[in-house]
Amino acid sequence: MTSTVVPPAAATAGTTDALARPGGRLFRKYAIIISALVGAALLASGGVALFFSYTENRAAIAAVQREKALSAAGVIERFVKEIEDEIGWTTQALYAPGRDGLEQRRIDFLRLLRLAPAITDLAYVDGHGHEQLRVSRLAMDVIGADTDRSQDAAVRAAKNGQPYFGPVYFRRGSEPYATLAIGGRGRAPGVILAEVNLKLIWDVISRIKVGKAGHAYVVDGSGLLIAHPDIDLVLRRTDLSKSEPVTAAHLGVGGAKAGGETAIVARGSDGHRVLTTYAAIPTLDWYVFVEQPLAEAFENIYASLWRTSILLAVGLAASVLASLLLARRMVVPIKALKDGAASIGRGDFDRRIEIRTGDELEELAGQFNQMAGQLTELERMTRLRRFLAPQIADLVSSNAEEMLESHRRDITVVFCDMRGFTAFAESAGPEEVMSVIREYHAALGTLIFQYEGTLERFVGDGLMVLFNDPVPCPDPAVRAVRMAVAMRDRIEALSRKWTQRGHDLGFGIGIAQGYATLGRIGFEDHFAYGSVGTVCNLSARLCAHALAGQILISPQIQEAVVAIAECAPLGELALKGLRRPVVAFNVVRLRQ
Amino acid sequence: MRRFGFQIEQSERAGGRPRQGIETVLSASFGRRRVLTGLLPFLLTVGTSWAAAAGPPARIGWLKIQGPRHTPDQLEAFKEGMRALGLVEGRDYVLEERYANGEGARLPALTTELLGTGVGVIVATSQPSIVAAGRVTKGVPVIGRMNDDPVANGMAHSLARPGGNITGIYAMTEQLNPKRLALLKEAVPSVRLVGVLLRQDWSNAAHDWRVLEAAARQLDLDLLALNARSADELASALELAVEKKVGGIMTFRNPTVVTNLKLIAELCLKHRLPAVFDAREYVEAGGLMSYGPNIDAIYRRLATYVEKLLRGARPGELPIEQPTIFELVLNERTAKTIEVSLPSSLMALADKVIE
Repeated sequence: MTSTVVPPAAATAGTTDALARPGGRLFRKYAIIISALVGAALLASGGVALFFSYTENRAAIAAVQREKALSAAGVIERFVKEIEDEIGWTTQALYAPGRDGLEQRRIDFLRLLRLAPAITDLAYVDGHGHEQLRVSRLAMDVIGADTDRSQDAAVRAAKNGQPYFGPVYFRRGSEPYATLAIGGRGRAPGVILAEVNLKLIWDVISRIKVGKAGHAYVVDGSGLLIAHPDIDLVLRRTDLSKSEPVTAAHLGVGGAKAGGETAIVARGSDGHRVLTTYAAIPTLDWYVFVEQPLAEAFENIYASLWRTSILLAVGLAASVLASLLLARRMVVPIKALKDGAASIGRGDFDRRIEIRTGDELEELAGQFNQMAGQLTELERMTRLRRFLAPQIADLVSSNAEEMLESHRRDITVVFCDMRGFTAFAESAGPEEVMSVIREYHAALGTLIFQYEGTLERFVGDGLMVLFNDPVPCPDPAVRAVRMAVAMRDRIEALSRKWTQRGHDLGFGIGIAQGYATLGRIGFEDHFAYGSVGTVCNLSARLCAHALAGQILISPQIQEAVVAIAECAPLGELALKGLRRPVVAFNVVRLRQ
Repeated sequence: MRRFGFQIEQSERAGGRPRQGIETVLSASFGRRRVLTGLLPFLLTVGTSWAAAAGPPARIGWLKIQGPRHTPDQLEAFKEGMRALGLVEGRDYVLEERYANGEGARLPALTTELLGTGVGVIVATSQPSIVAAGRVTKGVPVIGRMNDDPVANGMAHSLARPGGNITGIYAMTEQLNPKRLALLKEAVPSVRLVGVLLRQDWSNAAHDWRVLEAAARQLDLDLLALNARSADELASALELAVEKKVGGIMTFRNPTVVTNLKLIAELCLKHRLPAVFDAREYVEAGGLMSYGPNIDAIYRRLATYVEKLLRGARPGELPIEQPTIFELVLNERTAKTIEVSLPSSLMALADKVIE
């Protein structure tokens, strides 16, 4: 059997199956599950982080932009307020009545023009609503025209005491202007009207920088562009009421909201997508929009998005790698188990599974190995059985091996062999010899088993059978004699057949009883259960002395079987190797 | 393509000395110099190709009715404006200057000449040059300082959208004539008769005269037309003014007046005539006072038009701007010389007083 065992290396090579190989079923399953779990966790956390970073960043950018819009609105408001203040002092001053006062006022107006470059024209309307003075950069001064302007919206509004900033109008359809009216109080109840050139806001608006490419612009309540870094747009009288940012701000529709709390993404004035916010200047009904190209505004968001994505990708790759390794770690021992089990299944019981994972798998491997050990034992036993007498084999396999240890016991030994076998073996052909031997052994073997004798050994035609060992029996001598008689009968039948085939073969048996030492004898793997003692020699000598068909027994045996067998005394026999002559009997037949 | 071939040859030479490169690693400073010599052609190649990538400088025409020495500040102001926009002469643009040296009839031929050099835009410095250039080309943008109302004279559909190939800055020179007259009266309250230097054959002369007459009536002044088409006629016209005992002089802007601005200023000084002009150049040359937009500022501003046009803007879409700043310039020395005491109120309003 040992010769059929496949070497372990060859076994592994032969079983390169789909298990532990990357792509194997189990491996794939584990790898996919672990990657999916880790990947999902990573993606989820990355996604959440991204989402929050996006919203926070966006809110922060919107807040910054709103600050810009508010500050821009402040700057624009200040621009107008400064003009107001500059006009203001002329309303406070007291002028003499009549022509002299007007002249004085005219000089002040001219000074005012120097101070406030945005003012192109100044007019003074008296308490009755009549224009008394007009000073212009472009035209002659007009004193005492006395034209009735009491119905002018600006005049009427300013008379209420509040500075009035009129709607934007475009001189010659191009230059943006607005009328600023400031009413005097107390003893000087007139109104000063200033035509303000809004083109000069350009200086202010073009200085407002939002990031690198962002800018601010101003529209009035109806969406008309008042100020823009690209002055051409203003001079072309651009109507932005339909533009995305302005419509989004709901200007002019039931009044604008207090201010864009959030930045919106819209198509900007140049058609590109921009992030835009606005701030209102309520006193003027103007709206300062601040816009920045989306790409620039979200630069940081995009950068962080990019960073997170890369980290996520790296994390995913790492998790896939880790899961592959992990799956491999899990699958390799399982594969080892499987391979080991397969080897054992094929009968390679010497195979041991080496797993050092320190977990259940190692325990499982241990149990596998234990099982393989037991299988080895079982196999050994099976092999042994063929060589051992069934009784011994049973003892060995039932772990009652201590019964095979050396001991002395009173045993009955049956020795038998054929007469004329040596001559036969010399003359006959080997096939014929083997055939005869086979028939002979087959005949005797069944009888040995039948009478529960222990086949101690057989050498050629000689057989030695023990009784009362290793398994004790109550009537060893009786059994021995019954068996011997049965043997004689059986061989007699056979020898008639042999005689027909031309062979003259007889059969003799010797039976003796006495103490012998029994136990395992031999060396290394070649152990046998053997007996040493005079009783063995005696039985052998009796057998040798027996004629064909005789069963010679010692006196003890005769005594023991006297009840069942008719024995004929043969007197004292001088046997070779025995110092004293031995009284022997021949078993004639069993009593019925 | 030839330049490209040259580059290849250069780089081959640069890269064709691997052994020397190895030597330099092994040996000291002697070898380092070799590396530099080896690298130099390569660096030159990179340099030339970079410059080539930036494209050739834009060609800009500069058309002026006077000679190059007349008001050279205008050209300087324009270049300054270009510099402020980051455009460097020679690298980003080259100027093709054409001067008619006072002969207005040459302007169309000079325009054709400019177009022949392949200019992308013509800066026409004054009304006659704009008119001439605008007649010669309808394709190449013409920008300039317009003295006359461009909508009224048909050069533009509107100030917001000129529509054609002409745009620029409308200096409102003629529109300010009444204001100037008023300022003259304010400077010299005793004035009753004002002589107006004009060219009766000049396109806007009649219109401007009518406007000024209306203003004179309001100011209780009389006007005397002083027709002059040349330096000689200017001299005799001013002599006539002295003869007629005019109390002050005004000018309508036309090539004769502009070209002879120094002569006029000097003659007025000589004849002790208080005069009001439309630009500070006259006052700097000895004239008493001027009121008008800062002309240098206009030329600086014109640079932004050029820049926009070079970036591909259409001239018809570039609005015609109007100046917002007008300056009153007085010459105190001249006032003293011609024994005019300028009122303190006027002095206080002056943007600049030449002492």
